[in-house]
Amino acid sequence: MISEHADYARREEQRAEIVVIGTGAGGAVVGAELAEAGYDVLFLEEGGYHPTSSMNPYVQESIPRMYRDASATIIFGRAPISYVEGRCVGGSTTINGGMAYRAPEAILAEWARSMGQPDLGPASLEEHFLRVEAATNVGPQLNTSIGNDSRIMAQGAAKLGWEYVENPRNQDRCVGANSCVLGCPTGAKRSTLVSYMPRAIAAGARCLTEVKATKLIIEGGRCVGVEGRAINPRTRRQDKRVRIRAKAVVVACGAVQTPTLLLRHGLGRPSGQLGRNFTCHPNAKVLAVYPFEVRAWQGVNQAGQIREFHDQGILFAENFIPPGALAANMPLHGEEIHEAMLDYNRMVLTGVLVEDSTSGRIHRLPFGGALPRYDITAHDHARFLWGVRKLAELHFEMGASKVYLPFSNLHVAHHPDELARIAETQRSVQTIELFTPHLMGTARMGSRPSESVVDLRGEVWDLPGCFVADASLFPSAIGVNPQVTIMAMADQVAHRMGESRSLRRAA
Amino acid sequence: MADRKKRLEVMDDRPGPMDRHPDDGWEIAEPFPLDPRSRRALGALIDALLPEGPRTAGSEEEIALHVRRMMRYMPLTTALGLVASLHLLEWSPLWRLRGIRPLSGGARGRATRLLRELSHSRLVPIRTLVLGPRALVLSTFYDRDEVHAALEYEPRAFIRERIALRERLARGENREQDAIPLAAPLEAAQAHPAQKVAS
Repeated sequence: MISEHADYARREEQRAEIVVIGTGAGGAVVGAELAEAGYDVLFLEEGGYHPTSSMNPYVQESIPRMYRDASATIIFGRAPISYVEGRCVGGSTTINGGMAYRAPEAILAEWARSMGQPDLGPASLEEHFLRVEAATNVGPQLNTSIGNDSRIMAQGAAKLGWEYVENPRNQDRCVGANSCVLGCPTGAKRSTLVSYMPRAIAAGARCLTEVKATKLIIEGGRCVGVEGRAINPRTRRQDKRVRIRAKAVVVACGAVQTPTLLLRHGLGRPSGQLGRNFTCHPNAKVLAVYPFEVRAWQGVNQAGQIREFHDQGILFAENFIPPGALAANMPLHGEEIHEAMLDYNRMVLTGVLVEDSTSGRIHRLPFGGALPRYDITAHDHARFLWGVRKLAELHFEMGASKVYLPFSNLHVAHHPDELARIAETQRSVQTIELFTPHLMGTARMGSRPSESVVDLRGEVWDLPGCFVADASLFPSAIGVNPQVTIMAMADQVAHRMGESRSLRRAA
Repeated sequence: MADRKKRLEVMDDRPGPMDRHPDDGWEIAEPFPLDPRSRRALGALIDALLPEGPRTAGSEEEIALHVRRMMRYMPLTTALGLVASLHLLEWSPLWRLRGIRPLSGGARGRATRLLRELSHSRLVPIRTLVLGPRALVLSTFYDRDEVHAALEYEPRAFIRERIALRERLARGENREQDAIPLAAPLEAAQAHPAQKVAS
């Protein structure tokens, strides 16, 4: 059963065996697995429930419905990075591109080695990857869904002799409607909204939507519930109190909100790592304009990635977005923006993703807000400049007439020779414009309380009964889209919780 | 309300009509309250940021209303910061030493030029001042039907076609002609020369 603001009493009290905060890649997986194992599960979701039948291709409608803070979210630092995350049933899986890569084996092996624990290694996670990939139907795209922007990237890579790899995606007969970022209107993308959440609800789980978790209920040193505030959809005021008592609480609010909630209680003391090790795969956009119609809004939003430079921690990929979202990110206005936007059907939006060589930190503000901080390093900056130049060269090689660059002081190049100016003009990190949808690693998992925030079952070292199951668990950045790895780790947490004798006894 | 209850009881993945205001019981927030001076500053900013065409009668008021609705979804500190930036931009001619009249008191061209200058400033805080309001205004403008028409962007018809294709695929019909049309210059080359599929 799903409930929303109108259903709650002014002081709502509920009980459950397990309460899961968040319904995204982590929360939905843990909740569904535990509900199917016979536990009484209750989800707490800050956003609303928006079924496939309500999805539409309009930015004005979809951003307030499904994005945190109407997408006005920013990571502070040098340079500032705007970020997005989902705030709706399904979390970010409802609004992401559906890329379903596993964390590379080398990364998982490094996690196992550095944490001294094989449980984080590729062999241990294999069964969990297989389970989540089956549950979300991970596979290659149908040829009928491939659009011209993907063809340009694939052919450009072939021309330059670069490796291009087709994306595995969590989809069932995806036909390339290319509205992933506003919620899949065809039902093809197997987000947790249409995969794990229906399973959980069918197994008897309840889902309270439009409730923001504000604090954990701690009694006798153990987490025994959550307190939240229901958000009035018209005024956006938090005007009802919701209290849920439970035997265990799973926090799965994402790598920014999870540490913010836990920091309220001064947790993470043994290692001091809570909120630290924040990584975000920053990426820079390169927008090419071709002298012919591409109609990049027709066809899957990202069919593949150029992985030629993956060992340097650099990926190239296309990712087209609706005009409302594109215009918002261009450094133009007035007649200039309209002149540029009249080329919308000839544009190809691509990005350079750089794997983090550093990490940032999430701070909790006095009134409960989150303040993410992250400074890119000189090494990352240099990789961005190199990556932007290479990607722009690919577009010119494919016949682009103009390329918009992600620099505030150099935002357009009309000829490959002009790309040499990147090195001359980009001496400061402050002129690059960055963006990210991948937020990871602020409550790292590990086998020693002195180095990590949660143990290998996902339980917070200094708060029994409180578990974490989202991208916060990552000990480091993974260099690929994190969704499937989050799901696999959440699946592992769910199984370990399910096997827990104390939880069984309590249930 | 009966529809709302029904929506909350059934979880399925059936497509809908893709309407702009889906009838799913969800309510959009009321506009963020702004005093008359802030509203005037927002109006001047919208006028300066938008291109001349293809505006329609009332489009500026509708955009202002939507911007105020979006502000409700932001944390209060962010929304108040945005109000402050409206006033800073309104009086930017003064602090940029370009005159003593606010943006709303001068010609549109002058305001557009000044905002352009600010958005290319070397100082990140000054660029950021323009960034938020510009993103909100332009994302709203470029989401309007008349603007989509001007750009020859019609996603609903395309998605409907694709939903019909998905239904045909479910029946086992996989036809070559259902592929997305190749852009002319790409026809000579292989359509999608993927070198390998990620495992």
